[in-house]
Amino acid sequence: MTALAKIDSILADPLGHARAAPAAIGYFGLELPEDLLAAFGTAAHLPWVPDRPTPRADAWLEPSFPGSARSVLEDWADGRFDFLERVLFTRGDDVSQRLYYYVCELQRRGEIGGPTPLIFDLAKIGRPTSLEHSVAATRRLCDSLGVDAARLEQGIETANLRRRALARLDSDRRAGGSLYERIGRASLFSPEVFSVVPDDLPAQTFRGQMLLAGSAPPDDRLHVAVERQGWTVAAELHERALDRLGPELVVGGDPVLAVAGRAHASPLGARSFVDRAQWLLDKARRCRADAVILWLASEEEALVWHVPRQRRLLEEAGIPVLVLADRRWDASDGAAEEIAEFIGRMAR
Amino acid sequence: MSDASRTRKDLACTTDATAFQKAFGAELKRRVVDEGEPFAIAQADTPHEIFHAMDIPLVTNQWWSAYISAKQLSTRYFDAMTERGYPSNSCRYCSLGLACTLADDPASAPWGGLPRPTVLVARLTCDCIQHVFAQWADALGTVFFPMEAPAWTDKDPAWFDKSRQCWEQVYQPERIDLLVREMRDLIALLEERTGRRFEEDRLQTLMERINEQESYIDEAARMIGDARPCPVAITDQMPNTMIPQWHRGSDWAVAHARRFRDEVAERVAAGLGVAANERLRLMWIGAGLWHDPSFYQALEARLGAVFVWSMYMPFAGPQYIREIKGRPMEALASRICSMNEVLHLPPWMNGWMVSEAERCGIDAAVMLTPPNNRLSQSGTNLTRLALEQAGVPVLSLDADMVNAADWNRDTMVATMEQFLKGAGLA
Repeated sequence: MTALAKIDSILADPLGHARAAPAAIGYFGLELPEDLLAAFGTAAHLPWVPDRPTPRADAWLEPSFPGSARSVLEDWADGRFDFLERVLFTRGDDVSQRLYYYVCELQRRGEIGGPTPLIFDLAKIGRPTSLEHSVAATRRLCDSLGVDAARLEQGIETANLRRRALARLDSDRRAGGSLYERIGRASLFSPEVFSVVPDDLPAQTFRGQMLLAGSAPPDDRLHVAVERQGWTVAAELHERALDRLGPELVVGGDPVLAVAGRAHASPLGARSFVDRAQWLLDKARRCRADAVILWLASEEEALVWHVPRQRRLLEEAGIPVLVLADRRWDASDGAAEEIAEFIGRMAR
Repeated sequence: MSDASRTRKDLACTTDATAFQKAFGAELKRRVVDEGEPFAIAQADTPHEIFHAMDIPLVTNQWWSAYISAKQLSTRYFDAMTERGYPSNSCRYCSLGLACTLADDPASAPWGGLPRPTVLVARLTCDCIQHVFAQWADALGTVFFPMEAPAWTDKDPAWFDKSRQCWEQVYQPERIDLLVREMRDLIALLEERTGRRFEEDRLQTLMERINEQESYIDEAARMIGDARPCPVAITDQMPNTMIPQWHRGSDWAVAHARRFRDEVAERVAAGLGVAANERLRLMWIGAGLWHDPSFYQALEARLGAVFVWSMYMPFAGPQYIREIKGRPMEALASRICSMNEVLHLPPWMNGWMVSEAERCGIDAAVMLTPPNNRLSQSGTNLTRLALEQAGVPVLSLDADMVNAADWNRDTMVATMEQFLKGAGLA
């Protein structure tokens, strides 16, 4: 099986690796520390299916929940995750934390079964009280998962290898952006990704480079829309971007402090305290973007507040930006056509 | 003032409460605008008691939003936000104050707009609030003091039975401890920036007074739930709960709550009802419909449908009253650390509301589910299902509590009529 075929096979059966393991946990939300997940052993993000009907989840979740949460809850109700021991949610993400309470309640009422939900009570405010709370939450989660200090250090080593692999891949993009999106997505489900990604990905040339920012799209459909116009997505700035794990984690003492400190300070996610407009501009410059697409799903609550300043900074820097706000999560609302028109306009 | 904000008041104390609040607004304006006293802007679910104990004037964001909304200015300011490039689906409920500041139109703004506060304070109960408050603080040239809303893993659907006495157990010691430490940080910031001192003894006294005040409201809520016909309209229930709540623990608030309790008792004893022909007892779930309270009275007149229950008044007992146990900071933290969660998350929301519907003999419930607002929508579907399972039909109204733009009273009344007919109730 070629490397690319392997990635496609992971995406076709995202829970295959976890199912084959003697013990596996699931998680929902990208603020769960990779180091801790790696320390446990086998962990997979709960997969979502963008275009599936979700009749039961729709009855339980209000319209403001994104499609990923609906898809996951529908699968949960179908028993697709029954083989998992536990599923971790995070307080660092509002959708994840609310879904945790809903799942607990539905289980209490006997509407659904499945694994035991746990929540990682991450606090993000930049004060010692929040950091200490996050440290305690990390310790509690380690205890719940049976991860001691030695195992956590091993987990950090494993996660650092993954960080290195993703950073190398991200900094040396030669193929179309959609391939990197698939690799990044597959990395949530199986660590096999980190060993199968080859150095000789097919090199392609493009007429322009795009930065894709805002909400994480369900899959590579926006990347493909860009590629159809002869351009490529050269980088992403959203919670599922290839650099989502951040730089390597250096441990100088208690590994729990290091892991909790990283989670507390991470700029990713809706609840981080970061200048998002400057961050976007810096990222656009770093990846030499010719233009930016700022795509925001209708359910996005946090990032919408930064649109005016993000747009202003990009325009002042002479970087064209297409703002697609209040958009359907499955991009069935003409996003591809608007992207084509945007790129066509720049070519003229 | 438009027709939408004009409502019938059955209780003498209601008129006095609104008059007090009007005078308070003028007094607050005098202190913060004319005399430049330090003041704070804070969300409703933050520890107001700290500011009261330090005699620091407080503008509550929700009160300020209702104030702007009652002046029929919300559409204008939200339009101004859209013109500034904010996506039109951004959350409305907590951002009207920011919209007013960004509109920067002293001619239209209440008080000519807010001056620079000492601090803005919000608990981070949703993903959007920290962004709104951080930008508002920037626009006003001040600092934002966020407070955590940590996870709550001890999930007891009958929390309301134990919250007064067993608050450590119900709300979890580590959650209480985090908020106590945050409140101490906030106090340090306030002392440094205002020169005013915090005294725990004063907080202890305030907490005792609040317990007294909330006990009167709790008593009134129980009388209204028990009485047939319903003695007090929602338009009297809300101001007599909420206005004293903004001033909780003050001499006026305690006395007013007692007076409200007494007036309710008098109406119950006299057998007075809200509607001439009461036929249905309804439950209002969600924030108040600040821009059109006359909607409620249209239902009373047309359908004999009376809102016996809305969340603010019955909330006073389980969520405000606390055995202080010589630890006022901890008791206060237990009041605040889940104030939003019990109203918007399962199992607390549905557990409480099903119990309340049973207590009050509710025939049907109406839920306000504002679009583009995950926080306000949160928990409503599971609560609806739980109520329906308990035999209470529920109508969800897709409407906003402060934004009048998409609201049509006649259409909504007709929707209600149709819903009640469909449920075999009208």
